[in-house]
Amino acid sequence: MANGTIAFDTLQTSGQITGTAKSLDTDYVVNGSAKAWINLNGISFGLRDSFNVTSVTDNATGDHTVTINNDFSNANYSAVGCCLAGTGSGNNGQVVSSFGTAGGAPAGSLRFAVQYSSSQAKNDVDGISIQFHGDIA
Amino acid sequence: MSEIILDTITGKSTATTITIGSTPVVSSSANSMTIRGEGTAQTSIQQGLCKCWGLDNEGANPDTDSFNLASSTDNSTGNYTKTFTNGFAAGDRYCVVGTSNENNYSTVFVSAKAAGSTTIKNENISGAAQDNTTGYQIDGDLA
Repeated sequence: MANGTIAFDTLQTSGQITGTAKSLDTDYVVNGSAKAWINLNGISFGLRDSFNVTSVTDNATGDHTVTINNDFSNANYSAVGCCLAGTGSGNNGQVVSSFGTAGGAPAGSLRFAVQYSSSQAKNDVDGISIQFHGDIA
Repeated sequence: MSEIILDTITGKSTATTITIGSTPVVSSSANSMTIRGEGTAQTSIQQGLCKCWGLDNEGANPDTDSFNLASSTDNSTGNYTKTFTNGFAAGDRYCVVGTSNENNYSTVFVSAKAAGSTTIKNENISGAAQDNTTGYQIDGDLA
């Protein structure tokens, strides 16, 4: 049996949690929801948890690719990443950065690097988080 | 085809379910609501919703604004533990990202994750801890 559709423009809460009723145009639900996210262990290499992701690929040290299940409609999506600290004391902050140019990632995947911010050396680390927002196809 | 036009549907209780066909689209069950995205693909509202976010002016106003955040603990410069109001199902499975204002190539990273809290740090390119204006968002499964 095919599922039906409920079409409506506004969500409204009773405020039972915060004590204040709120309403929201459903455009914000569709456009504001994350369309994919990952929590990746880059050391043993495997997804701890994810949403709308088919697979992850270990290209090299600190060099990985996420493949999206339901692709984005174009390359103009937003991907933001963060990760756990590297080992050692001091200079252990690390950044998650995408390969290529802005808007240049394929609609169905993202290749990214994990690097020490101080030395730019790529590194495998646990607890890599990336969120994706944008229009899905 | 029939059409119902009305202003409000109010459940008799918080356990009220709306079911289309055999699929509950609104219910008290976990991960039970899907929407059609911008194209034709379906996406889960529960999985896509940000479960916690915040903006910190670290050192001055740690919780400038936030959602689902009970408190912040100032451990040291650039080192803050965020305690959630409603915790996550597991500490090693949620997705947390953050960024801060540019301050000598500052980097936001996570130093500890638990189901009920996470610790976020700020360092500059030299590895020195620093207080910055920091935004963060967390996705994942609530407990």
